[in-house]
Amino acid sequence: MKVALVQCPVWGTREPPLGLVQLSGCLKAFGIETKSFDLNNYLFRHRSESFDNLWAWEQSQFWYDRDSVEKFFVSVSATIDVFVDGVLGFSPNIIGFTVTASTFASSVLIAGHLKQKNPDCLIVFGGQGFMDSRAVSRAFAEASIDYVVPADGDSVFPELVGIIERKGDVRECLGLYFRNAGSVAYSGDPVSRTSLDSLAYMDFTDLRVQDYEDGRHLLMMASRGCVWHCAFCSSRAFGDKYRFMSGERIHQEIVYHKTTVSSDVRHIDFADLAFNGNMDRVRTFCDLMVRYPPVPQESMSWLANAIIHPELTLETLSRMAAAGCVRLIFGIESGSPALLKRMRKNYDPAIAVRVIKDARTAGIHTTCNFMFGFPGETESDFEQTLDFLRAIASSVDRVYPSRTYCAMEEFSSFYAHPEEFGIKTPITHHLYWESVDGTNTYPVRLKRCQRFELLCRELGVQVDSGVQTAVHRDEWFNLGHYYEYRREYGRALEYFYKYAAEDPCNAIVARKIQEISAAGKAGV
Amino acid sequence: MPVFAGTNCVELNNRLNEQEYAARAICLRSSPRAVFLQMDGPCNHDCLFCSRPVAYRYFNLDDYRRRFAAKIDPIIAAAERLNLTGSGELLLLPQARENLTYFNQFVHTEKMFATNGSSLTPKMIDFIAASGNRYVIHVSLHAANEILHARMAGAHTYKAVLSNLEYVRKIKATISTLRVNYIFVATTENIKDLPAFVHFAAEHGADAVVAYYNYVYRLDQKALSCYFAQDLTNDMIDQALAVAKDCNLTIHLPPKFHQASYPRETICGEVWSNLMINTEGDIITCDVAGDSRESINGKSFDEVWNGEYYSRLRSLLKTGNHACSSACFRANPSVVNDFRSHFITRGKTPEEIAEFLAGS
Repeated sequence: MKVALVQCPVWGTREPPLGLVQLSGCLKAFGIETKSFDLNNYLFRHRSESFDNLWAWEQSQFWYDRDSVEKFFVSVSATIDVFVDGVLGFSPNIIGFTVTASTFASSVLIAGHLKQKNPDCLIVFGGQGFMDSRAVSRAFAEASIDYVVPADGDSVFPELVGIIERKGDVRECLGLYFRNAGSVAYSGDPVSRTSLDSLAYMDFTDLRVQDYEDGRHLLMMASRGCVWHCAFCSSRAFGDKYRFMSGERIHQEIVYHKTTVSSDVRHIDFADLAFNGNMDRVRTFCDLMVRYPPVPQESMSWLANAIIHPELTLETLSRMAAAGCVRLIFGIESGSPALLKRMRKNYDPAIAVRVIKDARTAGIHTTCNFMFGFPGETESDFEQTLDFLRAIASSVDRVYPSRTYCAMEEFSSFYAHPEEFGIKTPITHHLYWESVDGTNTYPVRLKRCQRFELLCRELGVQVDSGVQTAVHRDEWFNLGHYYEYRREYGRALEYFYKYAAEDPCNAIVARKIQEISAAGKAGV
Repeated sequence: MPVFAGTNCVELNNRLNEQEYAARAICLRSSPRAVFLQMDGPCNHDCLFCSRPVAYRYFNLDDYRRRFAAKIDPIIAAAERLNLTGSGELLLLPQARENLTYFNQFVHTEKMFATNGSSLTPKMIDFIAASGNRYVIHVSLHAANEILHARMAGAHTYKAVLSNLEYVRKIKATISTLRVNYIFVATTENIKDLPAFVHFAAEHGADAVVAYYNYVYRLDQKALSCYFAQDLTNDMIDQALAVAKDCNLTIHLPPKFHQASYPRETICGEVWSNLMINTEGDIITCDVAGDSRESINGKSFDEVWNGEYYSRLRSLLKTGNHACSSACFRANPSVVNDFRSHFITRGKTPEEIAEFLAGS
């Protein structure tokens, strides 16, 4: 039994996609012949100038629109054909797609191509996006899709492959959606791993680190879920519990990759939502990294997302620095205790100021993330955020003001219960949502972000653009879409023209201008 | 159930097993002296002579505990050696430490495993040393220089391995429970390096060198067999012996080719003394003997150990009616001169075997 794993766009291109390399490792651990194919990186590396910004995260909404993706695929059909033939050349019995909202449209299209060329191949979609049953229904509306795995694919998928191989009953595979007499059935919830220590190592055999933009680092996820339950966060998709690898296990996998993947690897990016959700494992990991460096006489650095935790003392931060920690990224979001409470973000801003200062003393760089216009944010709340910025200005290395300001993420609590947060329903756009009283709109949030940045400049705080294009261009790009969404086409065109003046090769913006102009909407 | 199963009466079980082998008993009261547990794991090398299939299932401790522990653990308890073998690197398994910790409960049983050395990190050595268990580690090096090592291993890990072995040497000087043998799989690619390898092993504090001929698993590996470089191989074996003597190092070598006389054929004792089981519960008697048809699934240990399959094998060996000694130079050193003793027939059709033999 052979399994092909496919990553469709749009996804990150700095390193091999985590979902694929993790799943590949788990399938191989079960003795299943597996090969991974990354269409996302393949297209990125073969892109033309007119699609240069298509992988910029801030412009990713392009990939949510099936028509746009289909037109793009037609324009690069020769490249797509080569890729599809490459996958089928492996003669897979099963083809698995790791799917999120941003990859759904492209995955459906590629799955259709593959199924058309080889109807015997079984197509499996999986990913956290399928925690929402509506996404499952959307998937099964496509004739090409046979199974959907919504939960931990690393344990469910190998079991499914085993059942298919021995021609068993797929209903025995817990955690699976399947077609059943014209409808969709669910086999029942699987038992999820309580610890990630037994997880197989990531497998980079097919997706080599050096074939990605940054060939010297690995992305690793050593925990799932979070110890907090912030109202804006979609981590619920990982389950309610915080599950993690022990410090021993993290260290062991790093040593493994250092000797197997590439000796050029010098850095680890931890993709954990909260690397320090369990402080004991952090301390154990750091002690091991110091006592048993993955390669003696060679430094290995790492960065991680962290939560503000009282146990992040100067002593602990110093141990982390000695173990190679070069940067911690904190989701500060606001400096207002009242708003933090409303966000269900469980920390004290005074402790945050102390931790950021201690991190600097320990030699660890910090990045602090902020958001603007969380439902209920008042001008006074926002002023407290600016005060917080003043308090950390001399210690923080970089701030990242969210370029979506306050996005309504699927699976988040405020997305699920908008009425509790005074959000106008129905929510028709995750970026352009409004408060019931109309005081909190996309332009209002953008304005606060601009004020925040202005203060950063005054205080000499470095602002992380966080974008692959340019901040002002993305503002124009998104405002163009915002006014198009509001059917204020004249204003939409104004922003698209501004954008096109600086980036005339951009095929997406050129098409927008053409569509709005051709429809004669601009005068409306 | 064997009389000493579940006890730690290793010596008594050994004695009984020896007596039963000497008597060529068919039904045994003793349990095997050595248990081979296939602990397959991922591998970071791609050795020229490797038998590894494209895909294979890794060892999983939970699976072992659920399916086999009740039957096998009592046997391990009374065994003198637990050989943790298999494809790939068992130390690269995510739960390597948990796996070893589990089997360390059998404190009276010596553990043995093979590694290419790259995963034998200082941390792992500290862990093994701290367990207090007796370990024999076979480090599969096959070369005493970086270029040849890369050629043999298909990986650039030589420096990492050397760094690890340096630490092993340091730790070995402080404890008595650890023995390290350097392994040399002799092929036409590396046979010239054998004397230098022995010298290297002595310098690095190895307890012994174990050299053996590669088994040919695939046709493309045929040219690697020392069978096709017999004079050179004989010469290198002689030189290696001389170096080992000079260095006062224990060495185990395969038989030379075309000698005037060879040690007498013996009755292979493995079906009396060894039990090898893979992750699926299949019993693998020996690579040379052909395909195994025994499994512990759905049977008790005794139903396997004294069942039809083992009884028949023991009977055939006892009466000299088993053909395996004609293809195994471990039991019958003189057959080293027959190419059939250098390749693995397991899983091959008669046509494939004929293809292997062509031109030999």
